[in-house]
Amino acid sequence: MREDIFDSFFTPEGVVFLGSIKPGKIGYEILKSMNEGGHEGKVYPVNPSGGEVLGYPVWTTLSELQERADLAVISLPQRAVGDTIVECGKKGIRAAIIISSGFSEVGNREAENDLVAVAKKSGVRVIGPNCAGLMNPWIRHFPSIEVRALPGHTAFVTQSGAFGGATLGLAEERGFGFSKFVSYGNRCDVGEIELLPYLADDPQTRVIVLYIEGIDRGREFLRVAQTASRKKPVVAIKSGRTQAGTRAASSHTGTLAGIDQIYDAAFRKAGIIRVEGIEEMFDLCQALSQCPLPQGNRVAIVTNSGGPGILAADQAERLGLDVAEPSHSLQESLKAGLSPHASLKNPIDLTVESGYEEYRTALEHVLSEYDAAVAINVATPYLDSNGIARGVIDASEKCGKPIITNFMAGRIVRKALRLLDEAGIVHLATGERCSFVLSKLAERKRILERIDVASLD
Amino acid sequence: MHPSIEKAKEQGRHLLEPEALGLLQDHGIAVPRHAVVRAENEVLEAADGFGWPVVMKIVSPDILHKTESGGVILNIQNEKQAIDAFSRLTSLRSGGARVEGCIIYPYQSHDLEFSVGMLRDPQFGPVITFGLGGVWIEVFRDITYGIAPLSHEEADDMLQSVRAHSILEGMRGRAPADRQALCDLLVRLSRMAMNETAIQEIDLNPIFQLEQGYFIADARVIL
Repeated sequence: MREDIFDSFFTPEGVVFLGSIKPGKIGYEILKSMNEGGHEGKVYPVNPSGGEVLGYPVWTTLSELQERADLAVISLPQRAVGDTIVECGKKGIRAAIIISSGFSEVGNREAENDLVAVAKKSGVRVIGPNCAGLMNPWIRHFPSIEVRALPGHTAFVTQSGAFGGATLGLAEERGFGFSKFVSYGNRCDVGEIELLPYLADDPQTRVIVLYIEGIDRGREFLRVAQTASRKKPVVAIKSGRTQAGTRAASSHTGTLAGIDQIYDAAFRKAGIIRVEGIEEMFDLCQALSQCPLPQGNRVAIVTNSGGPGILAADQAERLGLDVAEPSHSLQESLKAGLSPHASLKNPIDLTVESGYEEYRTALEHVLSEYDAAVAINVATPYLDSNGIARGVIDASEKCGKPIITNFMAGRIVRKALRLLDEAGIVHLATGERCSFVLSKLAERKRILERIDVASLD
Repeated sequence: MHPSIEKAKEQGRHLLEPEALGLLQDHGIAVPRHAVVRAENEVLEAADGFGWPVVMKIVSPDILHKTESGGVILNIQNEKQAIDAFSRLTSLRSGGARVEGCIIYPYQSHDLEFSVGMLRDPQFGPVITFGLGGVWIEVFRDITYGIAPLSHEEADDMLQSVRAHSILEGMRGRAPADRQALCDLLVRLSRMAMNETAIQEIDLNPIFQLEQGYFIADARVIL
C-alpha cells in the first residue's frame, strides 16, 4: 500500500476504470482522456462486455483482475457505485474517483450517506461523487472529463466541475498550466481540508487556488489553510456575495452581518488571498509563481506613453499601493540618461524615443528606491520593442524585485512578448492589471508577515 | 459555563442587562458603575451614590429592544425626575412584561459612539465585529469582522480597517480614541466567545469613547 493516499490519487501505478466503454459515453471519454494523456501507469478497464477498448484488454469483473491497482475511476450508474467500492476495498484499492452523479446534488442524501458509510468501512478514500475528476499534468495522468491541462505550477481545487472545466479551457488558450487539478463534486470525503496539506508539500505546486461555493468544517479549514499558506500562497475565488439579512438574528450585529464579510474575515485569518474571478486568478497565479515578492508598497510606473501609465498609477493607488514621486536624487540620476522631454514624476514617462538602454537604466534606478515596478511599452511599428523587452529582462535579473510588464499591443509586440515569456517575466494586457497583481503580491508579503499573529486557539 | 448563563438557559431567556454586565466584568472587560433597584428608596440611594444626572433602564426578560419600548430614560437630573422615571419604567408591567427592576448608571456625556458585537457563524464560530455605533451603524454599515479568538494585532487591524478609522485617530480637535483599550475589549470579548459557547450573539452598542477607556452604555447577550 502507498504511504500517502494522495500518491494513489495523483501518481498511481495502476488505475482500474469502471464505466461504459461505448464511444460517446462519459466513461469512454474519461478512458480516452487517460489513454491520450499517455500516463505511464497501467490502466485496466472493467466492463461485463469484455473484449478490448482503445488497445486495453477489458476485464469482465473487478474480482477477476489479477493486476495490482491503487486507484479506481468510477463512472457507473449511481446504484452500482456502493458495491463497486466494497470490491475496491477487497482488492486493496484505497483511492476512488467517483464521477457518477445521482447523489446529494439531486437531493438523494440517503444514497450519499450510504456511500460514505461503505467507503469508510471498506477503507477507500473518495473524491466525488458527481465530480469532473482530477489531473496531474506533470505525469500526464488525466482521469477527468475536462480539457487536459498543460503542466504548470498552480494547483486548482474546484467545488464546481463546470467552473473547473471552463477555467481549464481558458487556461489552455492562454498557455497557462497546472500542477494539479481536482474537481471534488459533492465532497462526500476528500475536499480542501484533505488536499491542502498535500498540495502545500507538492514540489510541482507553487500556488494553490480554491474555487469555493461554501465551506463545511470551517474551523478545521482555517487551521489547514493557515498552515498551507505559511508554505505557499493560497488564492480563493468565492462565489455568492449574498447580502445580509438571511440570518435569523436578534441583535444588530447579527442582522447586519453578511455571509460574504464573514468569508472575508475567515480568509484573512487563514492567510488566503481573495480574487473575484478567473482573469484575476490567472494574472495573480502567474505572478505568484514567477515573481519575487515586493518588500513594501512603493510602486514605480515606467512607461513610454502618458495615458496608459496614468491609468496604471490610478489603479495602483486605488488598490492601496504607494505611487509616490521619486526622490530628488533619484530624479537627478534618471535625468542623466533620458530625453529632456522625459517626465520624472510617477508615472516615469521615458517618452517614445526610449529603447533598451533607457528602460534598463531607468528600471534599475527606480528599483533602488521602489519595491516594484510596472513597465509599460505602448509600441509603434518602428519602435524596438524587442530591445525594450531585453532592457526589462536585464533590469529584472539585476534587481531581483518584481517587474510586471504591459506591452501593447498585438502583432507588433508578439516577438517581444515571447522574449519576456522565455525570461519568465509576467506580461499582462493592461497596466491596470499589472497594478492589480502588484497589489496582491504586496498582500501576500503582508500575509507572510502577519500570519503568526492570527490566533486560532 | 458562567452561572448567569446557566440560570438564563434554565429559564429559557436571554441575559438581563445586569447579568450581561456581570459576565463581561468576569471576563476582564471594564463596565460602568451600575446598580439594580427595585424600590424608590433604592433609586435615590443609587443616584446619590453616583452623583446626578443618571440614566435608568428597565430590566425585563420580555423586553429585548428597550429604547423602542420606552424602557430607557436618559439624563435624569434630580430626585423628582428619578422617582417619576422609576414609576414610568415599572408601569411597563401593565403591558404584560415581567419587570425585575431597573438598572441605574451615572450619565456619561460623550461624543463618539462605537459598537462592538459578536455573532456565532455555523462554519467559522464566533465572529467579532467593530464599527461606529449608535443609529448610523445601520446606514453606513461600516463594520469590520474578525474571526475569534483575536490577537491584539488582529484587533488593531480591525480598528484600522473601518472606513471611518481616521475618526479614531482624532480629527478636527477631537481627542483620539483609546486604541489600546478598544483592542483589549475586542480581544477579551473574542476569548469570552470562545469559552462561553452558549452565547449566540452579543451587542455592545453604543460604546462611548472616553479619553481613557470606554463606556459600555448598553449590553445585550443573546443565548
